Amino acid sequence: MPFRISRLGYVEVKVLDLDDALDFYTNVLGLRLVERLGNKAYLKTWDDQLAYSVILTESDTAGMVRAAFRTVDPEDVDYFERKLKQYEVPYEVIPEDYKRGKALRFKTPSGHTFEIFNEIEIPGNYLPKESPDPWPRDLKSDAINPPKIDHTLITAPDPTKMIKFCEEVLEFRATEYIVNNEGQPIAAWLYQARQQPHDLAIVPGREAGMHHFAFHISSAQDIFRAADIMVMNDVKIDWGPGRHGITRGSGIYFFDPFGNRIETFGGYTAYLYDPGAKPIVWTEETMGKGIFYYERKLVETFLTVYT
Amino acid sequence: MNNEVTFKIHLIPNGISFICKAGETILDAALKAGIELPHGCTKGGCGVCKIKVKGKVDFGRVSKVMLTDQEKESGFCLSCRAVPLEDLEISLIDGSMVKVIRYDDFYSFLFKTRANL
Repeated sequence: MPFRISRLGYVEVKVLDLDDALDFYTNVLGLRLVERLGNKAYLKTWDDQLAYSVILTESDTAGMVRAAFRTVDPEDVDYFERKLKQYEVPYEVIPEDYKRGKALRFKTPSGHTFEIFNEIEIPGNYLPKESPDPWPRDLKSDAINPPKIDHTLITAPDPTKMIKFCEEVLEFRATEYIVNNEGQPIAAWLYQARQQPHDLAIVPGREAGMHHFAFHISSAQDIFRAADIMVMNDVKIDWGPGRHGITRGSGIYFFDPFGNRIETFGGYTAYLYDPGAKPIVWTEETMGKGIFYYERKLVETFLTVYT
Repeated sequence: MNNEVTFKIHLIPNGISFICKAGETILDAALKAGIELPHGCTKGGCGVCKIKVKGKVDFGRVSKVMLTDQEKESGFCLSCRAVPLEDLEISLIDGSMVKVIRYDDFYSFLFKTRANL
């Protein structure tokens, strides 16, 4: 079966104040502002080819509005439209959005709004197309500057059902599971054509909850640099720098000024998961080490704190 | 002469009080005093630090889902954002005792700079 989804394209996240949000997301995190339109701002990382990867929307709460996955080919959107019909999932066709063409929008069993799209403007990254240097010379020297968006971890009241939905309808494949004592997956790390540890992960929790969204950081050294910048700017760090057993990624969990958790994720992680390889399994006994490898237990905020 | 404005916050059922500087959040002042109020994102977004409060506070910038207008009126606040405007009485929502860390003199010297980042 071919991969039909390429990767997580963008997330839309609610913020309580757009001015303060832009200060944090551009000056501390180092994203580039594409455009501010009304109560929304579109941003991208420096190595993103697509028009944008993060949308900030001013609201009176924090949390996720939607997560959008980009298909490999334009026809794949039609394929998923047939698939949604087949599984009787109600969906809307959104003919166009900012710099983007058609998208299918639907609610998942976990209550999240997902989109599947292909057409989007592709202005390219912040490097020339011809003979580029490895990174742009005008990166802000005291910002984190992650090169790309990586994944999102969301919460589901019935994670087993949500995992099944993502696997059957959206054709995600699992790299890793946490299974309960009955052998049922209660958490999953799911990948698409990028074949990296995860584009989407699911843990038990409240309906429509966003545990975090993540940016890729290439090396563990850069993750420590990111931690320095967080401290310099009084950013609340939730966990890390540390390592996950699951995905093997190094990371830091931290909060934006409104309580949305973000992760800088990467380092010694980027295993390629070959289609057909058996998923890795963690149990309720070992999941502490799976989530937080060095601590070997869940920190309390992992399952209780999210937006 | 110390003219700094401070407020007294009384914690029940522990029956202890601590001092909060004007403009300081309840959570910051509590943690500095070794009072381990539960907290999460510390940015008003997750609601984990919700407590009962008697007395006037500035609720600060908080998520309306995690602290509704009705909750504000009926004596709740998010300790990570709420700033006292007068002396207060606070308690956990379930009324249970709050863990208090007592450092000896040496450790209190080490920990007195602790801030809720």
